[in-house]
Amino acid sequence: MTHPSAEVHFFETTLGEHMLAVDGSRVFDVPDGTADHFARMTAEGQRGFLSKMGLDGVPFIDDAPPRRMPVRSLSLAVAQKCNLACTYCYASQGSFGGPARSMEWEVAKASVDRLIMDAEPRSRINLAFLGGEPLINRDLIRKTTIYAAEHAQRNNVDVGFSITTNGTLLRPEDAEFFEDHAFAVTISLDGVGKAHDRLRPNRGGRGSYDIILRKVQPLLDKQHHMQVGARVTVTPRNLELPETLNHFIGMGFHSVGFSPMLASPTGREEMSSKDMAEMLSQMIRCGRVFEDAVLQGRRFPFSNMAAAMHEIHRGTHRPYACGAGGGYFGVSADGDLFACHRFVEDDVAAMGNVHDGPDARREAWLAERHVHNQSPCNICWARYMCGGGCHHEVIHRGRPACDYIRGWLDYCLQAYVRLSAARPNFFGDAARRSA
Amino acid sequence: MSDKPAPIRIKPRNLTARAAYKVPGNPDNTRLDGSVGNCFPGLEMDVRDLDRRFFPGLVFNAVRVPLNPVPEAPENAQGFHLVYVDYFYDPMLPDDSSTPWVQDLLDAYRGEIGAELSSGRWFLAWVEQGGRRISFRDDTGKPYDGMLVWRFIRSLECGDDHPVTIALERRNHDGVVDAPPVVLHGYRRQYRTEAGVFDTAYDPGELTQSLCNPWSHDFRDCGCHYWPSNHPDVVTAEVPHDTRLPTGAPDDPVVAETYLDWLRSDKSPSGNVAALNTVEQNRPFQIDHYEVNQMWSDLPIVVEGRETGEVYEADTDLPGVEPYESVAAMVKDLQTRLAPMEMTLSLQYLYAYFSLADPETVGSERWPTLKDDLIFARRALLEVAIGEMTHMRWANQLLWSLQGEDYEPVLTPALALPIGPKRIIPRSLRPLTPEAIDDFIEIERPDGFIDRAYAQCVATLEHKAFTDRRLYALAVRIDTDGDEHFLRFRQMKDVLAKYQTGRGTPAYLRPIQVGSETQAKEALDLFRRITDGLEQAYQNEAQNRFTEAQEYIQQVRDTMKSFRVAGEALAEKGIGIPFWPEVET
Repeated sequence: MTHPSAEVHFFETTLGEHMLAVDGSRVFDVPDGTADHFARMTAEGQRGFLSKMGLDGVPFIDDAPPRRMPVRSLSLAVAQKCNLACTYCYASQGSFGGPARSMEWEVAKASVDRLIMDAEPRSRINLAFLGGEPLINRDLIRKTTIYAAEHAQRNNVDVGFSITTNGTLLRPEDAEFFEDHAFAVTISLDGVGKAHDRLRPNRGGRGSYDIILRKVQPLLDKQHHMQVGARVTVTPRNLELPETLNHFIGMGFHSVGFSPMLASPTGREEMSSKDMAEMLSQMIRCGRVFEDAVLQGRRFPFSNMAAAMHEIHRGTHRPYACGAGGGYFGVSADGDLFACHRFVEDDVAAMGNVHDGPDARREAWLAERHVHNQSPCNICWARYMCGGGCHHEVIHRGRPACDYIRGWLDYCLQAYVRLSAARPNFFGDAARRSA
Repeated sequence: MSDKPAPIRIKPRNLTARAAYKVPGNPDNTRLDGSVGNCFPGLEMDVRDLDRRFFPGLVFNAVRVPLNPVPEAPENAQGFHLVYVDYFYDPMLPDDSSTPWVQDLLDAYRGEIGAELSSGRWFLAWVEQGGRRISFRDDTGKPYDGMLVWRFIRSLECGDDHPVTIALERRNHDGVVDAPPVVLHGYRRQYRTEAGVFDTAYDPGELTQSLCNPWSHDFRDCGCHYWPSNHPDVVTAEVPHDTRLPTGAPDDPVVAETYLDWLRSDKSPSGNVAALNTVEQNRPFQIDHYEVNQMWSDLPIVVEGRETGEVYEADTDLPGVEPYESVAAMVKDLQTRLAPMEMTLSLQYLYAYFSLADPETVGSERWPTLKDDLIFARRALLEVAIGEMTHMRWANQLLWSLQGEDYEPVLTPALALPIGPKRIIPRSLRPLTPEAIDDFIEIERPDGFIDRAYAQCVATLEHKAFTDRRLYALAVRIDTDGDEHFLRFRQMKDVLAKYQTGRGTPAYLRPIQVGSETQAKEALDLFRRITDGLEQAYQNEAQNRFTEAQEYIQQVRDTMKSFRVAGEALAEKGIGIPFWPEVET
C-alpha cells in the first residue's frame, strides 16, 4: 500500500493552501494550516484524514496494464539519415546507429493500412513523419499522405498528420501541401541565431539557423489549417529560455515548447542537475509571462505551460508518460515496430512489425513500464502527472530530472489555481486550443 | 495537538476533483415533496403515458371531447385512439417466443390485421377480463371521453391469471363505425419490471411527453400536476452559509423563517416580504404571464422548502455536531430521548386537537368564518400529530436496524421537551390556546433544537463504516423533516388570532380539562390497544415478518378510528384524555 503521504501534495498560493490528491489528479482548496497538520500526523492519522476527505475510494488507476489497445498513432522513420550533425542526436545523426536508409512505399502503405484496420469509425488516427530528416524522402511523405487521406475518408476515419523536421530542406510548395492536409509541423530550433548554430550545425560544421528561418517563413505565412510549432531541445548551452520563447512566438509560431536533453548516445550536451535547476527557474520565468498573457487575455502559445494548464484542469492522470508501446509506435524504414520514434532500431523496445501488428512483447512492455512498477515513482506525488518520465531517457540514463519535473509541476499547480481563480473561462476549450 | 483530524471543508477546483466530489443528492428513499427539483407534491412523469401501451404491440392516446370543435373536425374523435402498431421491440412480444398468444398477436400484427389497423381511425371499443366486458359507449351510443376510458384501463389486472381481450373499432369521418371490429387476445402490460424499473417498451421521453413546460404562460397559475417539476406556492428565503451562527441557526431568524411567494416578481431583499394568505392576494406581486416566458429560468431552485443560490451546500454536518462516541451511545439516545420525545409531541398535539370545537356544530352568527377555520385548524393539527407519529416510527426503525435482535419498541412518552440548549419545558396536556400555539411554534422552529435533534445521528451514520446507506438516508429524512410543522402552526396562529377577544375562551376552543382515568376509561383502553398493536407491529417488522406486521398495523389503524370517535365524545363533555398523569411537573 502506498504511504498516505505519497497520496497528496500540498502547495500554496496567495489565495491560500491547496492540495493535489494524487489519485485522479484532483485539486482542492484546503484551509490554511492543513499541510502542517497533515505532516505532523501518524500514517494512520493521515489515512484517516484522507478517508474523511473522501479520497480513499476505488483508485482511479489500478495495476493492470491496458490490453488489446488499437494502434492509433504511428511515426514513420521515412529517412534514417540526416543532413545535419546535431551534437546530441538520439538517432545518431539520423541513422540510429545503423546504415543510412530510406523507407520504401510498401512499408509506408502497410503502416497506413495498419492504422485504418485498427480504427473504429469516426475515431482519429495520427500519422507522423520523422527521421532522420524526413524531408529527404519527400516523395514518400506526399504519396503516403495522399493515400492515408483517401483511405481514411473512405473508412470514415479522421486522420491527423504531423512532421518533425529540421527545416533545412523545406520548399515553398511544402507549405501548400502541409496546409492542404492540415499538418502539425514541428521545426527543431534550439535557440536564436548562434545559440542554435552551435548545437545544430550541418555536416560541414556550419550553422543552420539563417537558412531554416528563410525556409520556414512561407509555412508561417501560410498556416491556417496547418500549425507550425518550434521545439527547443534545452542543453547547457542554450538556457536563455524566455528570450528564445519570446522571439519564436513573435515570429508567428503556433506554439513553442522546450524539453531538456537528458540522454544522448554520446553523452554530449546532457543536462546536469545544476543545469536542470537553472532550466527550472528559466521555465518558471516563461510561465510567469504566460500567466500575465492569460490575465490580459492575450494568446501566448508556450506549449509546455498551455498543455499543463489543460491537463491539470482536466485532472489528467496516467500510468504512462506517453502512449509509446500502447497506442503509439515508431516504424523503422524496414517496417519494424518500436515503442516510439526514439527507440527505432533499439532491441529493448522492439515489438513486431507493421504487417503483423504489435506482438506479445508489447504486453510485457506495458506491464513493465507501468508507473506502479517504477521506482521511485511509486512513492512520488507527481507519478500520475509525469507518468514515470520518457521511457527512452529512463532506460538509457535513469531519472536525473525528477526534481525538475516536480518543481515544474508544483509551479504549474500554483499557476493553475491562480488562473482558474482569475480567468475561469480560460480553461476548457481555450486552454486546449493554445496547447 | 492531537492526531484527530479537525473537521475541515475542502473545495474542489479542477474537473476530476469536482466530478469525484461526493455531491449530496436525493437519497433512494426521497419522497416527492422532499427531492431536488420536485418541491411540491408532484410528478416526474405523466402516469397516463404508462397506459398508452397497456396492450402489447399497440400504442394509444387518451383523447378528450374537444371543447371547441371546428365544424369540419371528424365526429367522435374522443376515446382511446390507436396511434400506431408497434411490436418490433415490444419486450412482451419476442420473435422467438413459444407462447401461443404471443405468436398469435405477432401473426396478426404482421398480417392483414396489422395492415388494416394502419389505415383509418381506430379506437378501443371494449375490453374484457375475468368474464366482464366494458364497452366504451354510454347509453346513447356516444363514445366515452378518453379520460374515462383511461380509468377503466387502469383498473385492468395484469399477470398470467388475467388475460385481456380487446376490440378495436374503426370510425369514419362522421364518427360511425364502418368496419367489423378487430378482436385481440393478450395480457395487460406490467409497467415495471421485476427489478422495479420501467418496461423497456417505453421510448426515452415517452413518459414525460405530455407534461407542460415551465416556459409557457400558464406555469404561473396552473395548479395541476402535469409539470415536469411542480412549483411550490411558498418557500423560505435563502440563508447564506456565512451568516449562520455557530449553532447552525440563521443570524436573522425572522428573515430565515418568513414564507415568501415563490413567484414574487421582486426578488431583491426588499421584496422578501411574507406571502399573503391566499393565491388571489399574492397575484399582484407575482411575475406576470408574459414574464414567465423570460423569467422561468430565474426562478430559484428550492430544496427542502428553501430557496438555494447557485450552489446547494448540504449542511447536514452542522458545525459543532459531532458523531456519537459509539453506536451504543446513539441507541441509548434514541431510546431515552428522541423516540420518547416524538411520542410526547404526538400526544400533546392530539390532546390539543380534541380541544378544537366541532366545525359542524359551531354557530355562524357571530363568526361566519369559524367553521372553515376550524376545518383548516383540525386538519393541520392532525397532520402535524401524524407527522410526529411517523417520526416515532422512524426512530424505532433506526433502533431495530441498529440493534437487531436486542430491539425493544419504544412507545413511552418523554417527561419533558428540550427546546433549546438550556431550555426544557415539561410535557403538558393542554388545549390549543394562543400560548400553546406559541410554544408549539417555538418547538417546531426550523433550525431549532427539535428540528436538528437528529443531527448527531446523521453525523454518526454518515460514516462509511455503516454500509447500509438507507439508515443514513432515514436519519437525514427525520432530521430534515418538520419545516411543514412550523408552517402549519404559524398558519393556525394567523387564522385563529381573530377569535381572541380577550373575553373568556376563544370561540374555536372547547373548554376541556384533563379527565380522570375512570372518565376516560374507554379511550385509554383503546389507546393501550394502539400502543400494544404498534409494539407487536414494530417487533414483527424488525424481524422482517412484514405480513404479520401489516396485520397489526391494520388493526391499529382501525382502533385509531374508534379512538378518535371516543376522543371526540369525551371532548364534547369537556373531558380531555389523560395520556399521562398530570400531577408531575
